[in-house]
Amino acid sequence: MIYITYYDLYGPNANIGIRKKILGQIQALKHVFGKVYHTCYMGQMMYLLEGKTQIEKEFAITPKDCNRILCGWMGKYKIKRTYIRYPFANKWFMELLKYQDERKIKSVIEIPTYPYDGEQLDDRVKIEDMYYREKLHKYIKLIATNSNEDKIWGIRSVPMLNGIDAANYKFHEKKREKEELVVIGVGSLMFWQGYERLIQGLHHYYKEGGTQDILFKIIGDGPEREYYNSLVNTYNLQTHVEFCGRLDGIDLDMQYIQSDLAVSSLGCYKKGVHDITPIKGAEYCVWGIPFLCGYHDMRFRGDEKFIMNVSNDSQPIDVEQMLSFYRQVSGKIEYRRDMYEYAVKYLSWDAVLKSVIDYLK
Amino acid sequence: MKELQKKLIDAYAYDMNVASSSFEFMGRLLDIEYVKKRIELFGLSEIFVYGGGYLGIQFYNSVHEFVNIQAIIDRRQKIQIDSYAIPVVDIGRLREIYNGQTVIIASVRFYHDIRNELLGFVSEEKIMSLGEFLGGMSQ
Repeated sequence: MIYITYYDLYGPNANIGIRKKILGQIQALKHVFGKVYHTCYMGQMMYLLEGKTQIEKEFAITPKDCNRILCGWMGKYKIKRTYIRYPFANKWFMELLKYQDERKIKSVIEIPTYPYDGEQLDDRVKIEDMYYREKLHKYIKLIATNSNEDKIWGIRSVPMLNGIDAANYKFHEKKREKEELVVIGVGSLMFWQGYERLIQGLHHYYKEGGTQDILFKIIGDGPEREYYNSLVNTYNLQTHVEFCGRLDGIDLDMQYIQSDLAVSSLGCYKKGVHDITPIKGAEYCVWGIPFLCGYHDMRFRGDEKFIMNVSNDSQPIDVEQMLSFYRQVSGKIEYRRDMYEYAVKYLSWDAVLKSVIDYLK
Repeated sequence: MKELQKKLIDAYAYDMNVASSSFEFMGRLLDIEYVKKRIELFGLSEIFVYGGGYLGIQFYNSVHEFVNIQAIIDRRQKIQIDSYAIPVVDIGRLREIYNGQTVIIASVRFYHDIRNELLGFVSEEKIMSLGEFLGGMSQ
């Protein structure tokens, strides 16, 4: 089996969250199908890997090159199944799907975010995709996506919730070092994070005489950093907001261990989406950190005590309400363990990928 | 006609991708710290650069302080800009002086032709595209 992605997985600018997700999915697929290769596209080179080992690499400058190479590898390694992270449809992607179809290679396409027409896309890519995606049904019988829709472009769709590789996590109690309340937001700093809502909320809270010492740690980097930074300076919140940059591995784990609360995306309204399952929601859960959520997270029933649902709009976060939520959750002694156990049971990739695995078997 | 149309679309797409890749490379080569890190990542100490066009010259300018560039290789044995004192050799001369160094191909459009030409006397693992140098994976 090959997990096909055209994404730069290991480069210096690779999105750590997306990499974690892809590697977690590969692990779960391995549990059922044994050997699972994966691809990635970096520096105009297409790579075929098994685990961390490079098996093949080829120069590919155009989508046509990429797909010619992928078809070659499918033949060479006698591939029977593929899982494709959707790269947007174009003429050459359709040729790859046709190749698979002619050779009876079973395939599932994952659309990480649907609908995506509200996202900032190059006009050409958008138009190409709108034209070709209507023809995908000829070659693809199952789509996995974040949406609850039964059918997308005439193809059966199953919800693909973001999960976690449960084997990578162990239960941790928080190591409290200071009296301040630490809130973290983890992710690339894109417009849909909407962290300005919490920064504005902190501004209102302290303006109104709030006394709780709160430290909002922003972990990640991206285009919105300058905007958030300017707000912090305007509101004089330098001692309450810290930019930690991109963190991974043990450095990121330490931040999770030392946090009391977390914020998931608060700006999904800007993308016109509401039902999503970002990885960070699952990670906050497995680390036992209650979190604020500005969208409907489809992995949860909606009445979990450890999630504070906030409106999906531009309103500043009510920090008093946030503190009261925290006091309520943390009043229960085992809340961190409960969250951890929930995550292991319901959010592991093995559980999340079940429909896909059943189809590919 | 349909076949011709298909070929035309392929050709347009190819030209667009060559142009956008070249543009991206030019941009990345401006980040000298990044370029230095890439040299360290691949453990390069002596190299040849294949391609005397603008990409090759830009690459030379970005890396020559950090790595020993033996020469630029060019079919016409000249580079696009006259004012640089850069040693330029043709493929025949390279064949004579080559001694196991990495050859970086600073051409997007002619990558495959150049690679095939080099494979006569340079081992596969010693041939690197500029894209691989700037954004690819080390072993």
